[in-house]
Amino acid sequence: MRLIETIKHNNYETISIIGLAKNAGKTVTLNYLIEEAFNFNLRIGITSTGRDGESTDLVTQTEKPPIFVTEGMYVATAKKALLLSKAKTEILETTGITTAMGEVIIVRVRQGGYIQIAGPVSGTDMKYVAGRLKHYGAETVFIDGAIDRKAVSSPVITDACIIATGAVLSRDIKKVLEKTAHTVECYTLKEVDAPVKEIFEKTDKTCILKEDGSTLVPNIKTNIMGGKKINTLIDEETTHVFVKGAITSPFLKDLKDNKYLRGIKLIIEDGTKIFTDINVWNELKRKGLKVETMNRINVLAVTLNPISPAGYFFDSDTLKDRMEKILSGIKILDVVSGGE
Amino acid sequence: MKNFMTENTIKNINFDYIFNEVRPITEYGIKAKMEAKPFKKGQEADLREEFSKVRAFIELRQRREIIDILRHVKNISETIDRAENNQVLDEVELFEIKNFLILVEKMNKVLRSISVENLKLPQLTPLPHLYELLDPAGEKLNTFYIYDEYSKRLKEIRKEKRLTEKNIRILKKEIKEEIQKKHNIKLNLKDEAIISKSEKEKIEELNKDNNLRVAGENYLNIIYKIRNSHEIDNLEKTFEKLTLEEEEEEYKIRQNISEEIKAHSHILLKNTSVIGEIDYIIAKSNFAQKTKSVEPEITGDLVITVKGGRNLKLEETLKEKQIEYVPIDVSLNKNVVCITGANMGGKTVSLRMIGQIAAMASFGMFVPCEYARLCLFEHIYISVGDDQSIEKGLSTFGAEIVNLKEAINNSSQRCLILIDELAGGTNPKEGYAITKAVVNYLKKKDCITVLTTHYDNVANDEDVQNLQVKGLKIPDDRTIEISSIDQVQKYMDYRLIEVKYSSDIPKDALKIAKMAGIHEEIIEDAERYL
Repeated sequence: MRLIETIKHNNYETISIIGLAKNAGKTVTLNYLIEEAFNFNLRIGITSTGRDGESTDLVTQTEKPPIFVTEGMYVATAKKALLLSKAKTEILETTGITTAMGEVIIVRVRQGGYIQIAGPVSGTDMKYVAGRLKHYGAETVFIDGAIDRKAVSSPVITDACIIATGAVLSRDIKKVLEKTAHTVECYTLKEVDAPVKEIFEKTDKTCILKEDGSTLVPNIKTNIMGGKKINTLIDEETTHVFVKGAITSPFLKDLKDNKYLRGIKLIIEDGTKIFTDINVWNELKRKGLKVETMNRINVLAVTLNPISPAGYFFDSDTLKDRMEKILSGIKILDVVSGGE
Repeated sequence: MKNFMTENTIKNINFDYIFNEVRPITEYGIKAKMEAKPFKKGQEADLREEFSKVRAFIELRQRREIIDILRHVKNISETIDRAENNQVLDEVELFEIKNFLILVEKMNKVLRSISVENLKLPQLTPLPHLYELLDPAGEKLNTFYIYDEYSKRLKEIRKEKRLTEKNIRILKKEIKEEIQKKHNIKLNLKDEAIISKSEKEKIEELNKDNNLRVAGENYLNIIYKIRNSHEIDNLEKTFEKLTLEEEEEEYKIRQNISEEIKAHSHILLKNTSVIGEIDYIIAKSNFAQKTKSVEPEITGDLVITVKGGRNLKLEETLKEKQIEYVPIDVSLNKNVVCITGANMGGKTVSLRMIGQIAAMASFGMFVPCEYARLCLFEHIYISVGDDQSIEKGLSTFGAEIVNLKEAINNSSQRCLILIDELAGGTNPKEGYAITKAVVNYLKKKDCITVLTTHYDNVANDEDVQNLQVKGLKIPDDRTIEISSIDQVQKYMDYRLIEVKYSSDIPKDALKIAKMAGIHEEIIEDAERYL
């Protein structure tokens, strides 16, 4: 089944597209999906996670290359970006949500063409905008997410995500594979059992769960600094450690020598909260640490861009084959060389 | 507002709190609120009319409908301003004007459906002609687009553009398919093919093909891209030309509409201020309902009568502490009124309540009580011990004197002057003298002065009304111990009772000290001095 058919078949309402780096091929992926949606008769809406002070990037077009939109699509973008677009649009709503590029406007495309997309900055606003796009008739909304703004396109808001990766990550194909696989692993960790999930949803704070069901909330300000404290609180009765917020290398290092490590499960909010060095992560896992997540992110596909703007590229087939081997079960697409 | 009440007065009667709680929905409503002026002596009839509007919206079912419309009203002042300055408005601005016109039309219908006798609500002026200009296809939708219907030429350009685009696509597809078939290669979405340099024969073959060109190269591969045929080049040129023409035509259309908007700008602006006015009135209605406020009776006579009066800020604060606010009745019928009575007996609270009710009425708001009858003032003053000026470095007495001077300077006009413990912090002899003299001066003025005092004999005057706090309601023979000073309120009767020629002011201070657990020895000693 083609990717777009999977999306249509599963009725995914919102899908974020996350690039692991600039030039990882996110825009090509988006353009590919738009074309596929057009061919398969799927009415889509698109928007992107905006960033404060983005206007300069938009002018030089380094950050957000324009997207080619087709007639009948729904778009949410900032006013300044809209007025620069070549596509002709019918204005449906002024949302009152402001960005550095002006108010976010919701439009329907009347004549295809290129358009720059700069959407809301906050998660709440993104949720609203995605909802409005659906309201006007979009069956699926694609959110062009930025790697450093993952929260805005996080699983709390979207039903699934597509990860764009490529040669730009490293000249070493192994590193590209490793980094991509790590991200996918983090996103798709096993979801914690429902009763435990419920407990942590209630505490909503970094805390330790014991065998008898009691929780202990350590008095810490940040997770980065709190690793040592948590480490001392873990004992033979500890079953789970829930960390709200970021998981960093220093935090994991603090747990490294804990003698109860094998007996506990580390629970994270979701895969976008992991910011650790791959080596530290792997070391802890070798030592027996089990990590589970409160919210598993549905990774629909990984798209590849074998070409790096630095002037080197990998053989498309090789990259795709090797990626398929380590990410079995996930659809891998080389969108730059032609897609499915 | 500054001229009516000083900043300190506004804070001390908690009018800032009230003003904040009255919340219009639209920016026009907020503007109307910020520009609101108090109704002063002589404007009693106008104020009554204002009250009738507030009352109408409390009762009318149409209030909900109007609120729903107001929620969608956006600020278009800047857009109108741009049109007036001969700027050509963009599509988003035209969309906003169109929506504004739709909302005006809707709200106008609702307003016209209201028929209450003697009610004169401000009226909107719908602009159907201008609306039609923004909906040339008669779609009756609240969206906007530079529609094909705007001009024949636009429609033609767009038709031709579409055709050209289609032809380009067909031609490109043909060439792509031909190349793919001919060379047995696959071209990607960007019409590119990446060929390894090791495939020498293929490269030679591709280099010969006029329909391909080299778009990039590195040490391993060559990237080929489809070269446009002359036909495609020409079509693309035509397409670009058409795009420019389309934009020019659209610009002309926007220019025309912008001029029409300019021609109607005064009506549009009038509508925005009517919306603001209605919004502000509804905000006052909402607030009146929320705070269980009533319409006061406005009179020309110099009186203030309040039944069950509450100071809303204080009530709110007490509610948070789960303490009940005790509403107070006052009936001020002389130019100078003295409130005497126990410490902690709510005298200052009564002053703040009176000030708040008078100020709210002046601003056309209903007042938090069961019944009120009062006149309008030119100025309202209050001077209380915890005045903000003390923070500025003035001593208590200094701050009082500054306030007093300001009040007396304006006392030739009708004022409401509220003074808490005048000269209470100075020596009793001089304090009494000053208080008595101020009372003597103000009792001849067309003002209402209310002062709280502990001095005996200030109220001992035929021209001065004396209200006394009922005070502690415990029998003398009982001893009550309290653990917190807040508990005094359990035993306090806050009611104000009119007394005549009472030179004997109740001495509840000692009782309270005793309840709070001050050493018996001290209490007994103090009683000896009384």
